[in-house]
Amino acid sequence: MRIRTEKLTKIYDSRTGSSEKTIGALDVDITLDKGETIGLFGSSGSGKSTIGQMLSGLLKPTSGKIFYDEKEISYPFRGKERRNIQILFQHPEVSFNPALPLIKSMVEPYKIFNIEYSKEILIESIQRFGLHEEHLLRKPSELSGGELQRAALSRLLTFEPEVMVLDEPTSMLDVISQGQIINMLREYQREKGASFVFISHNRTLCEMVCDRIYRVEHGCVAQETDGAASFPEKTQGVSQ
Amino acid sequence: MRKKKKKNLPVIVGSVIIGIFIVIAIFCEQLAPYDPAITSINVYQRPDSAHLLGTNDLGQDIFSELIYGTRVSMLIGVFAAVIATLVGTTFALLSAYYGGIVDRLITSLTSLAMAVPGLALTTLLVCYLNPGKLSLIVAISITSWTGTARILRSRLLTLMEEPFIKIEKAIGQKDSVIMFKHLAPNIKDIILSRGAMSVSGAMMTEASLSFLGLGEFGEKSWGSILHYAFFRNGVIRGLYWWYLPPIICTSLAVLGFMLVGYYGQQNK
Repeated sequence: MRIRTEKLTKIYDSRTGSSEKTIGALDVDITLDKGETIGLFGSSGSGKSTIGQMLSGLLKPTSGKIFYDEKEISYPFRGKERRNIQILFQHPEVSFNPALPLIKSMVEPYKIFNIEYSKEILIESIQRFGLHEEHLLRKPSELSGGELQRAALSRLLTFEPEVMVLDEPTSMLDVISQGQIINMLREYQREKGASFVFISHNRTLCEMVCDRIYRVEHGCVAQETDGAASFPEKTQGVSQ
Repeated sequence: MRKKKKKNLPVIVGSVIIGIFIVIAIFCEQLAPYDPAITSINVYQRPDSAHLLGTNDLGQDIFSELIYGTRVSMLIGVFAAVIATLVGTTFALLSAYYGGIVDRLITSLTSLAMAVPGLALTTLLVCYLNPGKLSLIVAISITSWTGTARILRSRLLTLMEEPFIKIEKAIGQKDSVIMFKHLAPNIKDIILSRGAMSVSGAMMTEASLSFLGLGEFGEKSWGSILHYAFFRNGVIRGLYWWYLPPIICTSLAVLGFMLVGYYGQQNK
């Protein structure tokens, strides 16, 4: 089991002074095997992204546990799990520092993880994602969404993460770019046996990409069997 | 397509004013007709061709004093503002980035510093630190970083929610690199405009303090000229060529920095 969560819960404090709490995620139990793709499917505001960010170590859970290769990991992630669990976001246009040319952001993983770097290596690696040297010199605002998302993906795959949380990675892209991204991800998965958590509100895409689908409603998660999810009774009537 | 940059008239006017004062401050030895420290027997003279703005109670040339005062006033204003902006930016970065207890501590400190009446505290500090240029700079910057820190913090908090910052965290980038390479450059416009506003604030405070006689001894700023004009009967006798020029210069310089700071930010 690559990733397993136990009663993962996130409760947001509302504005200061008010005692009202908002439930981001409640008692989430999910499992993710090596080489598997699971889907988190739900409407917007259901808590999919909250779960995704907790899984990738960007949000501190209020309670609950995350296990990585059966070893408990806690926020903030460090060392091996920090490198191996990554996240790809929905909005490619804000996935890079807008003040810097793309190349400055692209070389960062090489420096952080001490990967052998030369400009040729970088150019070769982005060429596999359909990008060229001249793209590197531009600012993020001068590139299209599809180009940026491919760059973001290529940046992550530089250091070969084992688990990737894909937070609606294609929802802002046109159909052609969508297909390209999905194919690149599938190829990477086949090569390296990586595991994906695919977050989406697109039913068809979820069914196409995922091995198993969890449905998320009001922060609660239940696994679907034959297109139906049965939530535990206590979660009924939980308001957002 | 890149948008054509719109001409920003207030910023241009402000920059021109600042530019003129900077030139005067740098070349004051060449520009001033007399050494402002030299006294003569021609005291309380009215403006004439030899002394454009007349002379003061010690027979010193007021026009030359004004020119040399530009250097002192600008120096103190700019340095105090740079320090205040640096302190404010650093606090804002730490506060927004780490959140939690660090944020609460810095926010409380900021509120506390804001609640203390600024001029009173600065006066007290200067008195303790021996009057002089350095203590003026220190005292002004200690009391004027709060606004910058508060405004930048709120801007940084929204920036912290941006995916590219989260991605930097996710790939394990160092905290200091995220703060200074990824956060700071994205608020540089606000930092610069807040800096320009700070200069005008610092120059006002400096003028007030020097007017009270807490300025550098022997080296007169615009505020000090006003101090002497007031305490050596310039104002009572109606020698307006003595007390009006430093007031006009201070107002103009403050206006210049305000224009750049205020409209430089609004353009974004």
